Amino acid sequence: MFLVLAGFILIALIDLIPMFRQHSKNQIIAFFTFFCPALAIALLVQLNIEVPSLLLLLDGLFKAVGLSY
Amino acid sequence: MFAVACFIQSSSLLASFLAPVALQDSWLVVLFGIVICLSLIWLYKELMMLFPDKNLIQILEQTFGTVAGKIFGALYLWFFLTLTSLNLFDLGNLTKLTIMDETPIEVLAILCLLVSAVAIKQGVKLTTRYSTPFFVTSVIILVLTILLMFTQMNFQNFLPVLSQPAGKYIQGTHLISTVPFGELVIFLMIFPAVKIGRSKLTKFLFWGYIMGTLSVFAVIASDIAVLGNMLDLFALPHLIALRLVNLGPGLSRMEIFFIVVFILLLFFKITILFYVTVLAAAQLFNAKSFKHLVYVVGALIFAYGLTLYPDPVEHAQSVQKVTPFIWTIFELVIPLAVFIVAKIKKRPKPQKTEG
Repeated sequence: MFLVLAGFILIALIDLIPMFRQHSKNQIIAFFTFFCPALAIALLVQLNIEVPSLLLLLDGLFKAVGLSY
Repeated sequence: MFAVACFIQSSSLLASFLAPVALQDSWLVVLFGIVICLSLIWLYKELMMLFPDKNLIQILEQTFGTVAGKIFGALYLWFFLTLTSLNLFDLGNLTKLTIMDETPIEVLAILCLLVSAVAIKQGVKLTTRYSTPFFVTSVIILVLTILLMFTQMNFQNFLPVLSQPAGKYIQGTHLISTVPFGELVIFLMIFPAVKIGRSKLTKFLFWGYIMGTLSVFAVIASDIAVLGNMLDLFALPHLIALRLVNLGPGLSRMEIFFIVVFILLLFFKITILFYVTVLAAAQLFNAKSFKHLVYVVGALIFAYGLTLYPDPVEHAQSVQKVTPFIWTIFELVIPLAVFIVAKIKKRPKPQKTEG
């Protein structure tokens, strides 16, 4: 848990500070769009909480509509 | 040219997915795939010619308008992200299975991502420059290993030919066309940055495709010749085939050469995919530079990869049965729609005549 949090804090320190200095709003939005799900998934996996697989969900959907071998 | 070849060649261990579908006719299915995918290469070439200075995300926005273009762009971002995660964990699995069996797969994946991130920050030009030595080395190793396997080969293993139900050939061709070959669609994100003439680029794309696909064909054909109907029993048939090469106590375990080369090729593919993902993300959000997004996108690639498949068996099942249909949307349906819409939009309007 500590390593996961440390990794994400490091990423934020490396990239967020220059972005705030440059006032680049779009980049900051893009950064958090990736940062939040990545942190959430990493924490859930670390806490042994099962995260549903998007590809397996799609598999089920495609099979349901008959698009599979 | 070598970047395209390396990209395809890195999928040469995919025989493990193809073997249970087409068995000893896998070589035939690869040939069908090579021929069919030539039409995909033509489609990508046409898109490149229609939009010479635009990448795929920009093409989508120009063709479908800002809102629909952004939606399709987001779908492609998910596609690139998924491809990167899948290949990253394939590399981790392979390394763990063959060389570093006590190292956790997560550590291997993070190390690979960190090296790729540094390479991307330096510019993708640096990585593509390495494609030539990577490709030449891999071809030398491939030819050498095939020559060494020659004594183990039994060409009766290719028989009977065309003995499977027709559906198996369709499934196999669809699989090989979409999973490794059609993934060349990602190069539509890179082509605008290549500063050479479009006709020269077309030639390089075509020859790169031919060289890469022939390498995949050589690997699969040699596996069938050595392993015969046992091909579908192994997760990595080429490594098993190479393990059978024994030229005395000093020259055994030849598969290590192939593993090293294959790891290099997979690393190359992951770096290209990672770059394309970061570029697509920056483009979608109209970010000034992609460099500040490299680590955070890398973090998502890693975290997302942890959730994709619970085990390799489920992965193989999914790739054989459903993935070709999902990938077809991104590799054929959307590019074809873009091509048709762009052609209609660019068609000269009929002039109104008086009277």
